[in-house]
Amino acid sequence: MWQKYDENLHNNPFFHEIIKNHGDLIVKASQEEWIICVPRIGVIDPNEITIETILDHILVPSEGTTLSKKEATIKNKQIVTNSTTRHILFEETFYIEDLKYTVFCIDSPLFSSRVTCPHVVNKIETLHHCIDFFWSENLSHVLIKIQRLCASFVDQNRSFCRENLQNQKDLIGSLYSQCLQLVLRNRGFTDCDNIKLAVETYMQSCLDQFLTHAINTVTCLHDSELNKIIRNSSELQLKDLSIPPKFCDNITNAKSELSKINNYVTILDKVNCLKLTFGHLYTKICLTSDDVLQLFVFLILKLNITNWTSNLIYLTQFQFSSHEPNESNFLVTSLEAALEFIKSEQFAKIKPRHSVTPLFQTIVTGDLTNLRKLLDVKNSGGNLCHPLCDCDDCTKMDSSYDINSKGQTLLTFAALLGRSEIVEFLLSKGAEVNSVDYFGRSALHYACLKGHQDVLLILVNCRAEVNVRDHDGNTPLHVACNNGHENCVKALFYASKGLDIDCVNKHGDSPLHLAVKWNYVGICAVLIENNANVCVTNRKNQLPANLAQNYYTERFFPNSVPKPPKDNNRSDKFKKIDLLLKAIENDDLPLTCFYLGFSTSSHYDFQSKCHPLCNCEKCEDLDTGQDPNVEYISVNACNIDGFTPLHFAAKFGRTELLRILLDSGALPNLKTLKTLQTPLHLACIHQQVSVVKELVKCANCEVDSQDYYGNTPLYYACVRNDAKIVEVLLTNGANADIRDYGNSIIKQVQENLTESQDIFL
Amino acid sequence: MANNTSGASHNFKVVLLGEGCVGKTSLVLRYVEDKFNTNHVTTVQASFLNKKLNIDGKRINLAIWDTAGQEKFHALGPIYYRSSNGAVLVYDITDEDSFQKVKSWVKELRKMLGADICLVIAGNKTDLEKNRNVSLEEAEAYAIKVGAIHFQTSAKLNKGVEEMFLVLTQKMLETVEEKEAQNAPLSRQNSQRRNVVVVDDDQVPPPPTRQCCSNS
Ligand SMILES: Nc1nc2c(ncn2[C@@H]2O[C@H](COP(=O)(O)OP(=O)(O)O)[C@@H](O)[C@H]2O)c(=O)[nH]1
Ligand SMILES: [Mg+2]
Repeated sequence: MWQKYDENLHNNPFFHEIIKNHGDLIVKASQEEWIICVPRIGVIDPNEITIETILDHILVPSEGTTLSKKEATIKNKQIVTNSTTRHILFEETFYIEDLKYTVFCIDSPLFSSRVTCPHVVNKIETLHHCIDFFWSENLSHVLIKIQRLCASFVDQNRSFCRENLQNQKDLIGSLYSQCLQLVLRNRGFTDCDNIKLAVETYMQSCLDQFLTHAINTVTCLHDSELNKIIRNSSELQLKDLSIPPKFCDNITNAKSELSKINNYVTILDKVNCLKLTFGHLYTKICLTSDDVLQLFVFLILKLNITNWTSNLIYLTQFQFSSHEPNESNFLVTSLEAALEFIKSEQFAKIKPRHSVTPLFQTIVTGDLTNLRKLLDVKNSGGNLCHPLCDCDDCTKMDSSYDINSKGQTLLTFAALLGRSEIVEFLLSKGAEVNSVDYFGRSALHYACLKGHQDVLLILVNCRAEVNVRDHDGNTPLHVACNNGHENCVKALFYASKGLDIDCVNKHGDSPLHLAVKWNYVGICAVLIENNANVCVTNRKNQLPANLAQNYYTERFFPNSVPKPPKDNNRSDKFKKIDLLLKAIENDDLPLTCFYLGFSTSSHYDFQSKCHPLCNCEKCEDLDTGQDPNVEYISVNACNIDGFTPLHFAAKFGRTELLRILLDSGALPNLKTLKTLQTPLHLACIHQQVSVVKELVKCANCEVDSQDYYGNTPLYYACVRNDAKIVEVLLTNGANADIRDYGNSIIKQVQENLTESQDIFL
Repeated sequence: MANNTSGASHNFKVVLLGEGCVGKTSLVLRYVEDKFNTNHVTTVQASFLNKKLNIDGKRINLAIWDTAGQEKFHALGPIYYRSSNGAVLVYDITDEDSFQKVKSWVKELRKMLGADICLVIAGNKTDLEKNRNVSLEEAEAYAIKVGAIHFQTSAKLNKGVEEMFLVLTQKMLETVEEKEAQNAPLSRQNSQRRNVVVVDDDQVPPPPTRQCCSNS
């Protein structure tokens, strides 16, 4: 899904020169297994392609040198020489007319101290990359159009979630092509794959929960069946799944990564989440396909994700932009295989290992005769020291003291395994029906946990306590609901009078919470019919209705209030800032000022304040009638990538707004998070002369700030060949001698730029 | 990133199938990374690897998928091999059972994907010639019969590995070009991915092959 760097080397002038005029070298390379390094297209001046440079670029691996006899070694996908380290972008093996040779495409020429624009790998792995991509391609204006299309789509398809899958796919597919047309209408077809991916991803982010909710609805039944299997296998451990112990260390990280999958709404981000998950597991370890599959199975069993089928359908069926068999496709396929495996007979055969004594072994095998015999022998008294002896050896003989390593009695263990005959037999021998194990669970808990309805009925008939709570506060009804055993839920209602239906566990969850959460629609119906309270809130302040993720479970709560806003204020705040930034981008000054709580009058004026930045009560009132109930965004707030309003004003050349921002306390030197650029950088990159002038006027503006690559604003002005800006910067004290992190200075860039050159003299 | 659209570029998916321990992972690692002992390989993921080839000016990107080999995962095969252009069926020349397993894969692949998929059969571990248990003549005759190409390889000694992938790639190229010549506008990609997890549960995924090792 994400594109690694690629180019057709036949169109590369450097390579072309070798093929055309130095065929002898190719033949020799083929015989001697030399490797030809080709700088990626555009980083080497065609005039400089001389035989010397070519010889500098042919590696003789056996000697660790180039053909020009300079040292050069290959290490970790890099070529290291005395003066330079270059990345191998890709390797291509050529088979041409009986010749075979290997070519490395590298990011910049070897042995060259020239500054080439740093290679920014145009990776698109998240929604944010997509949005950046739109900007870098000058396509930001389509974002708002895509938003509008999506909004009207949502508006026109109110019952979308109840369409069948095929219709949903068709509708989304046609929405996607509409969005794509917006972009392709006025553009050629370069970089088409990335455009498609970015458009699709942005569209998905606009549709947000609307789409995922609809797919949750379509897959509801499948997910509830799957959840039942998962819940009932959650006690399986790494060794039960034959996962090598070497993965133990990293699995917690992988788990917490994968648990975030439902925080993302786009396919791109969800797949990236899978990739990050396995990134934690790749470290230092060779991961085979068997490992990937088994680890997926394990993670699925251990996580609290309630809609895996829905996620899978989304990932496999709703991607229209590309279908290449790449790495993300491989991970999604492994997820599919893992889910398929969990549903298979093969998986059902995997049982947690019980280490048991001979007595408990008879229950495992269901061998009642043998159990009887063993108990008779033990109880016959003949083997006791004397009839009333209670020494350690003799007490062990007494059946009621027979407990296994989890504190389970024979009865509890028989209930767990669903051996109804043995349960009846033990009860007839006077076994204690309400004894609990080390987890506080009774035989009835285990019958409900595993869905053994027959055992449940026997136990309830023998006066088993139905509202008993285990150490987590779960009643038998809770565990039956959690594990999806509708037959047991019904039996509990049928067989017992005083069932406490609204009892909550230590998380504050009622049985109804659990049934809704795991999509057990049938159980929800039984609980609602029996007047379960729909107004219970759990510890996270959620009503059962708030846990519903699809149309079928929501239906039980027709009067429910809409979901309370998610309590992650952070992302809410980022959304607000994104709106503000968008307003700046769209040159909507009134809206921008509204978000910031400024006066709309363009000459912002604070004469009447105590001092410009005062916010004493008196001045606040003077402040243009701000509504105290609205939360305004601070001028120095930034979005998730660290862009402040000032960055945007600088980038898009909104000079008037820029003045207002600076006057109201915007800090001029804040840097973005990834690229570490100040507003001045952006102004130079986007050639906004008037913004540059305005910024350098600020007393505290750092003219020579270096960004992630070590480049100063002056560097970008030079690269853009913008004489005007270069002049402004130099007259304001910019230093032309600063070296970037590739150790080159601006003057070198200058050499082949003409216009602004003389300014340096 | 440009030029993907130039038409002379292909993305091929190749799966490796075969019993556990016949050397599938070793073959891929040898081919792509030129490494043998997986214990010494660090930070390489062995389950999915890419290799770019350029055959007489045609650019090919091979996506090589290693598959889960344990017997309990057999039924998951179709999920991995669907929409593959080629398959490498690997057996261990010292292990007769592993050759029978190859036969059952061939049957299944021909049944599910027909002639769309190019098959290569690899008798691996030829460095253990003295322990050979599968006769070369038999294996080659079988390959001819089912329209596959037979190779002898040793991942350990790096024998025959590159040649095998090259010949497979050439064959996949021929197949695709023939197809393109026949019915230009028909797109291959969409047809296969679609019928996978359909929610109206009528279509159960293809049943696991149970009576497959009956040796024919
Ligand atoms: N002697 C020999 N051993 C090999 C060869 N290829 C693989 N092996 C060994 O066979 C074992 C299984 O290999 P592996 O690649 O994990 O097989 P897979 O289960 O099919 O992926 C490993 O111990 C390898 O070192 C080979 O060509 N010759
Ligand atoms: Mg393997």
